[in-house]
Amino acid sequence: MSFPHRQVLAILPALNEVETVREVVTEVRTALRCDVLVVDDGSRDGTGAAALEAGASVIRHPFNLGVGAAIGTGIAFARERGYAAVIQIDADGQHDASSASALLVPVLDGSADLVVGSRFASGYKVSGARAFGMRYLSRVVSRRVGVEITDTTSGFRAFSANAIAIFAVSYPTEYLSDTVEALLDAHDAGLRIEERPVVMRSRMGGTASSGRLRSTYLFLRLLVVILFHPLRRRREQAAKS
Amino acid sequence: MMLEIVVISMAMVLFAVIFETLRRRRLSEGSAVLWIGVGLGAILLAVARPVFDWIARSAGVSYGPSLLFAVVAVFLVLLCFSLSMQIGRLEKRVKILARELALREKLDPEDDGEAGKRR
Repeated sequence: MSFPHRQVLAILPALNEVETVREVVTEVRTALRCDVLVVDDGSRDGTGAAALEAGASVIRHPFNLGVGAAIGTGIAFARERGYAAVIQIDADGQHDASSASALLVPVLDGSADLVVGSRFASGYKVSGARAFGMRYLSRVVSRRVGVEITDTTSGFRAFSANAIAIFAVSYPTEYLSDTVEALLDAHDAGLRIEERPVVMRSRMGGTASSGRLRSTYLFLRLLVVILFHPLRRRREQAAKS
Repeated sequence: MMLEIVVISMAMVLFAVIFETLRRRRLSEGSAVLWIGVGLGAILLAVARPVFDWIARSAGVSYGPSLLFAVVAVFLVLLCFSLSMQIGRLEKRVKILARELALREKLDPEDDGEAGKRR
């Protein structure tokens, strides 16, 4: 696929991904031929400079604010520049850029506002407590948004102009909220959500975030997020007041 | 019996405050997890007083409530400590932000005023 300047923006949130970011930017630029923005979330390893060298635009956070904040910054940039669609891709290389067009098609033909790429379609397996957690999230979120979402924590997503306008105001920044809560926010804002299968690889670099105590805390926190979501003020409204 | 009722109703007030602040997005979900835990802990201690007294005795504390005071004091000290660490981190961030903004807004004849004019 190929897009004229300022039509589609690929947003790559990156934190200390100097080993992979160059390769990923190049891959996205060849597979999609769209504008690429790397949001460097306060890296200390020269990720931003490497991304710039590979031909991406770069916005740098002065300190680490979290993936969600990086996506939010990217979407606000897309809104400012009037992009018609955004594709969010991980800078660690686990998302196969050639699957990105499958996510962009429904967004560009106007049939969906937020398209989530699911890793499970390509035979990705997780085990243990993590699998249980992901199945639970899938069930709850699918019921809330009225569309089957198998991979609620996937960070491989496409946003329409409508979604860009909504999320440019406020995007959930906490870890896991940037994926799961964003789906609930999107549904409440009247955005149409879809899921499409994509290819995900094991990561080329970087490390997975885990730790048992922390995972438990994150799960409890997410439970509070999900249970209270229908009762709370809408995020955009809270951001405006 | 009276004590149980007092503790449980105070926990209920705490839950109501958590609920309302959470609803208005004044309280973060992470802090909500902590405070819900505190409320549940208080109820548990009030209901299972014999168990708590037993723990106190086996820890060598003859009067149960004084152990409770000690536990609560330690919890509050840890909480204060973590909050002061967070304030320190926020102060550092404000300084970084103020400096980056100042550099961007500087009025320097060499810059032909461009940076100052933006905004």
